[in-house]
Amino acid sequence: MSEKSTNVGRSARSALAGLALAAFAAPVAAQETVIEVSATQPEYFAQDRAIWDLYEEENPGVKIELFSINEDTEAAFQARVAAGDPPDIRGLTFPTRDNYKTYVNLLDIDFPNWDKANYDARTIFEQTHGVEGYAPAFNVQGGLFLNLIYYADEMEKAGLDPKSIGSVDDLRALLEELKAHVDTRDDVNYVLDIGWHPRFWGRWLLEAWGVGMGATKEDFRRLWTGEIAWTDQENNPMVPALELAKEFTEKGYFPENWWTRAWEQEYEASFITGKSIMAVHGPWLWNKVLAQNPDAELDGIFFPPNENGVVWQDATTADRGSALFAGNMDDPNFEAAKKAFYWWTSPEIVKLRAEAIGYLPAMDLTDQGGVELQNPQYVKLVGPALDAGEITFDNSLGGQAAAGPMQKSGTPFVVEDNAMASEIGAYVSGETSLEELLELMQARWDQSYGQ
Amino acid sequence: MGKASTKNTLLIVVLSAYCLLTLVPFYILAVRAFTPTIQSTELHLWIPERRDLSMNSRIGDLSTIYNVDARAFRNAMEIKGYLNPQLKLSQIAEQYGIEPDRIRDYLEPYVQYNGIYTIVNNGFVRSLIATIVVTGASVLVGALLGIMTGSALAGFRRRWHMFVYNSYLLNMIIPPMMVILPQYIIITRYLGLENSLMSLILLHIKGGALSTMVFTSYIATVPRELKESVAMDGGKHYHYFLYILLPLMGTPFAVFASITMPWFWNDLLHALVLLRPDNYTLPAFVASIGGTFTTNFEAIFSGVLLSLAPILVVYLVFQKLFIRSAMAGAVKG
Amino acid sequence: MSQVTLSNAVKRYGAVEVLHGIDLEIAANKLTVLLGPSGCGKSTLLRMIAGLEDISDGDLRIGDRLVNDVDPSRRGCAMVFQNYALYPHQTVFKNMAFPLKMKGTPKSEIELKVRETAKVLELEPLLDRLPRDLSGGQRQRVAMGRAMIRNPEVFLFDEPLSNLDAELRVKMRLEIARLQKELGATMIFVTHDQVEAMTLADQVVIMNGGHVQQVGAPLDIYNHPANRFVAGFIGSPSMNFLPFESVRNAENAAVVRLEGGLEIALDRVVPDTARTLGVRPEHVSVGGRNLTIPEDQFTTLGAEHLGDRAYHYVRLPFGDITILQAEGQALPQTGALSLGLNADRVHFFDADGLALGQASDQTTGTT
Ligand SMILES: Nc1ncnc2c1ncn2[C@@H]1O[C@H](COP(=O)(O)OP(=O)(O)OP(=O)(O)O)[C@@H](O)[C@H]1O
Ligand SMILES: [Mg+2]
Repeated sequence: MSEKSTNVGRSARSALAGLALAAFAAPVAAQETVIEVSATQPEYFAQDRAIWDLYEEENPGVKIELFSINEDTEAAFQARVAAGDPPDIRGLTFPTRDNYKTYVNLLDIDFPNWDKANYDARTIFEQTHGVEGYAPAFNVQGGLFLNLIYYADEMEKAGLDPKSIGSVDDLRALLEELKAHVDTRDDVNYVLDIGWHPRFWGRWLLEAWGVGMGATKEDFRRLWTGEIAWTDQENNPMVPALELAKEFTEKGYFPENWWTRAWEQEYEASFITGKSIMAVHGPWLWNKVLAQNPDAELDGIFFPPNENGVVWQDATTADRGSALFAGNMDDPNFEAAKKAFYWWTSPEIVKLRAEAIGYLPAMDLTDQGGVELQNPQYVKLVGPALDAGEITFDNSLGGQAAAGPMQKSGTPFVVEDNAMASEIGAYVSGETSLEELLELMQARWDQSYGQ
Repeated sequence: MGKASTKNTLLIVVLSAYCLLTLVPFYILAVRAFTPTIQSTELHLWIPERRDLSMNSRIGDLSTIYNVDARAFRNAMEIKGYLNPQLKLSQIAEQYGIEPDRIRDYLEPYVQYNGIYTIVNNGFVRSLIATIVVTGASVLVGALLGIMTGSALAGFRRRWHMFVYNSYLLNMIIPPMMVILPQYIIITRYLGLENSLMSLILLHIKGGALSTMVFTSYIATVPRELKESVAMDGGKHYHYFLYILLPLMGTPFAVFASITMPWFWNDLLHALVLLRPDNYTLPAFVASIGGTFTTNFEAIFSGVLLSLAPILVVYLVFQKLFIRSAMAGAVKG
Repeated sequence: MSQVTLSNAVKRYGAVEVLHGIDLEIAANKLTVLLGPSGCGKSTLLRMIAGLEDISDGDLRIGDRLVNDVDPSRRGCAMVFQNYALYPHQTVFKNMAFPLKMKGTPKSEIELKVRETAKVLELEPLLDRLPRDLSGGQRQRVAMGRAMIRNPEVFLFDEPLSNLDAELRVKMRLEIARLQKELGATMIFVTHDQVEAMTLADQVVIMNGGHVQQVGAPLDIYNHPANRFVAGFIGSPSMNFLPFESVRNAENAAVVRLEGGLEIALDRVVPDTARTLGVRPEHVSVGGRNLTIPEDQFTTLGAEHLGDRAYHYVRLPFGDITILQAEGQALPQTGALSLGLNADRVHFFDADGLALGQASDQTTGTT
């Protein structure tokens, strides 16, 4: 019998050998230089592609292999990077103190575009993360704006003019009238549409509204770096914004239980499909509405400026910057990758990129004749505001970014955390008091940033 | 007589109701594949109406939201050079002197059947073929190896048989995510299988505790006299394997295939890590359609629907094989 | 055709020896039955001949050829297994064609031979059926057909009839006997059913505990068992054994003193070394004068009535004995029981169980 089982062994072995043989017949590499690039964002794959097409035209023999990374594919991508096989260029990244070494230190190579940036790109990562002498990414996008967007035709129908709003009280008055109008409408459900998104609430909205209600970004930096206690109700610059959120909730301007509404599937969808007339948002909702309904008459306003005429704008940091991978520095195509990266971050191309996607570049583009932004948010809102010059935008570092160097590795942010949705919900619905919420925030801050 | 027929009718009604109930999710999925993303949060029992394409649409927005391939669009419209994504379709028509209807005819289906279009135009067929190759090869080779190991181990008569088996079992217990890095390194560096479907097949057939379990236990019921009879009749071992053992493996194969096929078919993790987009299998392909701040649910549901269809067909085929093998029953006699 | 010869054949499984040096000649063109209790090594011996088990020691010849290391298919043997080992997914035709296919026989010839064999076995109408659609007897015949089709020199059967009911078994038994005559082949047939052995065999090999006990024609073995094991194994109900203490021989007569004091008077001489007397139930008669048992020394245990005759079981101080009586004849209800023994049919065994006297000319094994 033993001779029979060796027969099986033998046939199994030969089958395996066959497999292994086939396995080694890997595809032959092409002659051209291939540069693998991840798109800035999957949504902008086509826009990126069109610009990289120009690079391929200018550089025969170079092939730009563009791919996108989204939430579902991110983990697998990270595995690939961790295994030492990264692509050449990452289109958009959020470098952290844990992963920055994955990327080439742009200070160590002959990166030519530093001085075009209109912020201190060389040290920005040091400022936000406390790592000295390392620049893992280069960001060309100006900080985003937050605004209230609305259907202009619907506002007109309601007899309201948001453009006339100059103060938070004006906003209150408008929302009260809008609510009265919405109550008469069967097809409209919400007054000021909103949902929960940790980054939106934790990083942007509460700070932007806090600035509008009289604080400065400096106040927020002091809060975050421990100079102002979170529990100090008098001085905590976030308190007025939290109170306003509670007021809007109580008065029924915000949707009921808004902190449980999914950002994309519930909140954005309800505005896009016209279940609300006005909504709180950054830049993307404009495009989404217009893509679904290109004839929509969309317009917007900023959250009212404070008495100094200052409106919040996010700071430009290394976040969302593009990067080269350190693991490739010895690769034969590294020079070619560097060249493509320099091109991609050069003023000439940044102009194209900014125009294609629609953001204010964080770069001085006067050499290029400036940018001509045609995206709706810019055309309707940002452009006119900049032209009028009545308000100024504060795009200095936000509190959370400024506290970056103090944050202990692996600890959560204070507000930018899904766990905070129900806590804020409990406060705005009156279940818990402001003290309790602030104490919780203080505790979270102590844990992540305290001594 | 009357009583019995009422009972039968009742039974049929109940069973059909049950059957319908189990089919409802499929139906809803099918409707969703044609429901605009923006309406995907509501339950639709029929495909909702949608707007016609507006010439006020920006080509960039169409790319972003509807996954329109701007490069293909440019080529189809014979537009040379860079096309600003912020241009509205009406502006494109004007600037490049293209008939608006030509643009409309090209883009209208993208909007009307966005899910299916996105899926099909972005490489569904390629991914489908890749998936069929990977799943087919994994099931067949896996079964073959399982039968070979099974016929060597059948009955676990020796101590080392149990060792082999346990090592396979261990392989099954280790979560794939834990070994993904070393696996990746072995596969890309030492086997040179970067971006190769072969790597997925190798990973699927490695270990093989399940195939061994299924085939070993079944092979153990095949009387050894069959093997001896072949030997007496002048057959070599491979004759026995080929003519006798393999044809008898219908039932365990149906079991093995129906358990593993969905695993292999839906293997997202390995495909994402080991393959590049040009070689993606269906799950990776469908996963890669999502964005970071927008998700084209219409396309994703279409992708799910289209990738379900083939495996459904395969299942029906196997169903038959399974029933037939089950009816064939005992090997003995 | 071919005789099969084993010289000092030993089979070990690891450290366990299950066949202990078998010396055996199996006559050519005869039907030889290997008979013995379960576990005695019959199947092992058969499988060694077939080549399905290695031979641990000793020689095996088929004809003049030493075949110890010859591949099973080249030994010229065909085997019919107890469970028939038909290929379940192949039709009767394909099952029977398989050995020829393995030999590379041309298709047309296969067709011809299968039909021819099927005709002999009356399998023609069944050629397209699958084994599972056949009755037990039909399966048995298909297995026979598959064995026959290669014209083997030696047929090996391992309890081929044990899965059949009694009636079919008789029928198939006759059929096998007929085939053996027709084909004139050497057949080796394993069974533990002695009726099968007695009715089929030209030659019976009795085995026990891995040893051959006796080889001979069925009646020879019945009449002249070589030792106590064979004597007890062959014949049903079993032979009566009466152990005794001493013998007093006179001229042509002897008195045997049984354990417990009873005495048997015989009209013959008893070998000196004999320690046990054996006599079959049919050779004991009631009312004889060889042995008289007082009323208080025996009890009747009951009887088995077979219609024309009955076996009566009686308990004596030294053990039980069985007596065959014609139906209707009962044992005496009162008084002493006197028995007659057929002196010519009495066997004697020594302390080792070996047969003495008339049986000594038979081939003997050792226990
Ligand atoms: N593979 C094996 N390993 C160890 N011992 C074995 C093996 N096969 C058989 N034996 C032993 O050898 C002895 C003879 O077995 P065999 O099958 O030849 O008996 P048999 O005479 O055919 O009995 P039966 O009438 O029950 O079929 C038995 O004691 C059995 O336990
Ligand atoms: Mg046996």
